[in-house]
Amino acid sequence: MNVIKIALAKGRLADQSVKLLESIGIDCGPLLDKGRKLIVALPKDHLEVVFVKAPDVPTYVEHGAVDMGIVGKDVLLEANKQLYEVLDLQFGKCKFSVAGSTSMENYPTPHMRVATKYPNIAKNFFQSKGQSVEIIKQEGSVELAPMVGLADVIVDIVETGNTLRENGLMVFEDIVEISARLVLNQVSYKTKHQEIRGLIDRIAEKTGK
Amino acid sequence: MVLEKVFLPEGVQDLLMKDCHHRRLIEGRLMEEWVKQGYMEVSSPTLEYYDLFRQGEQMLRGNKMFKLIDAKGDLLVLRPDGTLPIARMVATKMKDMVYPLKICYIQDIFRLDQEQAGKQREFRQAGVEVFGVESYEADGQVIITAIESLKALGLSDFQIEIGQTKILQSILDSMAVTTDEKDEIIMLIHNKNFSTLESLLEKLDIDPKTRLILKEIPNLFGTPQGVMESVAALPINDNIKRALEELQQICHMIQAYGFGQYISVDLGMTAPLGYYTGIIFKGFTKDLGTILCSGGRYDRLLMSFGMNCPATGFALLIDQIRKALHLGQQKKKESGPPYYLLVSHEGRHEEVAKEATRLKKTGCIVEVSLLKDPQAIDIYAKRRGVDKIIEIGEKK
Repeated sequence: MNVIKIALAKGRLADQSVKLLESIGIDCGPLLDKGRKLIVALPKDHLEVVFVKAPDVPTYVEHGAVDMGIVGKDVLLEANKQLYEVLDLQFGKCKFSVAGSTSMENYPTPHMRVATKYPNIAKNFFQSKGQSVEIIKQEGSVELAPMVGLADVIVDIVETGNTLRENGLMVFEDIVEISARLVLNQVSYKTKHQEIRGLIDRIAEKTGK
Repeated sequence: MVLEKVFLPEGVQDLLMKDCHHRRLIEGRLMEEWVKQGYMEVSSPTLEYYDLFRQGEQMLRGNKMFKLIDAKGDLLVLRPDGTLPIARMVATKMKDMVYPLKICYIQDIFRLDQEQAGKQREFRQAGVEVFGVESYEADGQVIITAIESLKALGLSDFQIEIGQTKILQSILDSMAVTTDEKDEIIMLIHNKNFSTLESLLEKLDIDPKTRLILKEIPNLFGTPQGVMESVAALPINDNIKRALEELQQICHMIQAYGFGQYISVDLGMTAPLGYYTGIIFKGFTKDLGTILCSGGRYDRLLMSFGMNCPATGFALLIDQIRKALHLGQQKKKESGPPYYLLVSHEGRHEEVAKEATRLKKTGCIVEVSLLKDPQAIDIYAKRRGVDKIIEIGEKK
């Protein structure tokens, strides 16, 4: 039987991804006390789990280094890789939004500066609306940009909106709803179809999709 | 020295001796195979006009091309696709040749890919094109050529997956939806994005039969027989039936050649380039997560050049094949011809020349040593994999 390699995103989705695997009867014991190991074998279930940073999941999947991955739709939209996106896993739900200072008088302005960790998503969104913007790529604490005058607005993930409110910001517009997705390497889905299909069906049953 | 000059631009690579030799062997075998099948080799220039790749249905994305401006201000590109230049050559320089016209080529392709995505921006492509025949036999023969080519290179564990663009096209043409909605449906089917496809189809005002077929299409892949059985249960129209019959005939033809184990079908396969009009296919192997070859039928492409001529073909990605051969441990140890090193003492050039000529005629590799020191000669011979050192004349 073929071993299926699956990449899980470290961080906010990892715990829920492991819970999902447990819920379909996979023995995730070795994942819970993995220490600093990045690759963990689950021999009973013919699985090998690889832990990588979220933005790297699509890269590993596209290149065939792993057969499948669990990652947020935000990462997929930004990465735009050639892979199969077969299931919405219904967890890790949040929104991509445009936000700015509560004191900003008129949104949108003719030429805005947009701070974001997701330059492709931001660019595509404003282009689709025919708006001219200047994108400023940031690595973190995007909320800071409008407060110090680096940018007029930000494009970021919003879950509850608390962080925005605490920093005197508000949502002007929602871009897209996002959640965790199950993605597959296009070749693996064909060459290891039986095993992968079995996993997909079990996961789909759990997520009600 | 300025450091930048030492490094290579992103997405290109130097090939050293071993890799160069391996690539040459692959290309040599392919050409040998294709010439045996009646294909004739052509070569198109590296530089083409930008407009060639930006007209009508065959539009390639402008941001995927390496562009430069010539002295007259014309916009040129480094060849970003193998088929379009060949189509241009056929329509402008080969109109009066005997058809069907069977063409083959091995050329470098240049594409601007996302930075730091681990993809080559210059890659080697070998392809065949058949012009002037509209029948399913031509498609079948091209796929058989692809299978025979991969087998000739020593690959055995590969699959050629066949699709049919007419099926999805026929469904979309019958729907009253916007171009953007059609594009989204195609993209979702291509990505096998079942959940988003389902919710989009629920929103659109389309009849339930069409909705059912579109929902099922991404799942319709596997053995030709299995897929045909699944399709039989769906409410399909006559256009789809005809397209499926064509696909079935091609599969039967390939099976008749004894290559049935190498083929599968995917009705959800969509064309990566805008110019495909019928059968499309791609090849892959278990060891490699990427495509080895792809191709299909493009009957309208030559109309851009004022010639109404059906065509079909495919391209192999040489670098991917090299990887697949390496990964599958199928890269047989090339024994190659014997390798001799001639060492001349006392300047006996005439004898050396005679012996070198004699050995070369028997198909050996013959190198005349430029070194004189016996120890240095031994080290050199070992490191170069020389089979035998032949000494001519007396050592002093």
